Amino acid sequence: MIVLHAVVARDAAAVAPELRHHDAGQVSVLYEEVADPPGRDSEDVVEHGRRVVQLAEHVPLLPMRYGTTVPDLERLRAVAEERAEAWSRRLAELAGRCELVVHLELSPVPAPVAVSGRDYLKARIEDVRRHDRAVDDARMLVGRWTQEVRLLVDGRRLAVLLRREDADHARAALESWGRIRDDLEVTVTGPWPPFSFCEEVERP
Amino acid sequence: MTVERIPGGEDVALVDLVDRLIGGGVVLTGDVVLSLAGVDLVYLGLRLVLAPAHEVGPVLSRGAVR
Repeated sequence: MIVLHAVVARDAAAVAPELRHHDAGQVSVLYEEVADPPGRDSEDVVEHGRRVVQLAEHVPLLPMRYGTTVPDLERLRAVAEERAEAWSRRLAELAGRCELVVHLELSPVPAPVAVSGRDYLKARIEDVRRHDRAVDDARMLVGRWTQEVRLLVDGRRLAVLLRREDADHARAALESWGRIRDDLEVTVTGPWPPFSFCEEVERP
Repeated sequence: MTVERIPGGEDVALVDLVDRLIGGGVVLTGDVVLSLAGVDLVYLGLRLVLAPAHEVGPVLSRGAVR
């Protein structure tokens, strides 16, 4: 079984001497051959993640989703040849970019002791609007540095794509904003490899 | 770009790292990819503790995401 780690530019494959690489077009797929599937504990995922993050310190890369495997080299060749051009294009777009993840946690508004169904729905709508305003504010705040911003599926976090040299500025602005908002907790993690900005590769 | 120097709480950072490793990255489609059903359970567990970010640390320290 072959575990896929990341896609890098073809001339950058040497950055991970402990991994094998398969070249296709202008890219190389970093992989390792293993007897067992990737582990399922969070520690296994974190260990894999640390390796990917360390690689991303040295070269632009497209991280593969954890657990991505192919049965053999023949299938790896087929997959790589089919996607090499799209991977190369996205790698170029993401070169020098990193990702911050921004948590936006609004303080809950205390509910009235006794409310009607209508009042309850109005309160829920206002909660959603407060959250939407916080998201919009965060987008505007980092807009000068960002190439793309995405709301992650839980609706509480933003993934922000930006140049690596701008990450500290964006983080400082977000954290400063969080400190003056007494109704909002802002937590920023990263910089990460651009995990949340790779799916375009699979679009036709 | 190291996990160790991330401010804002290492526990939250680690949860984000695991979440993005499983929920992001290049996704291959088709029959050449073997899925890891067990990882989905890790993902689900993490997503449950993600909601209140400030409470992630204590939850992780109790080993609730294993």
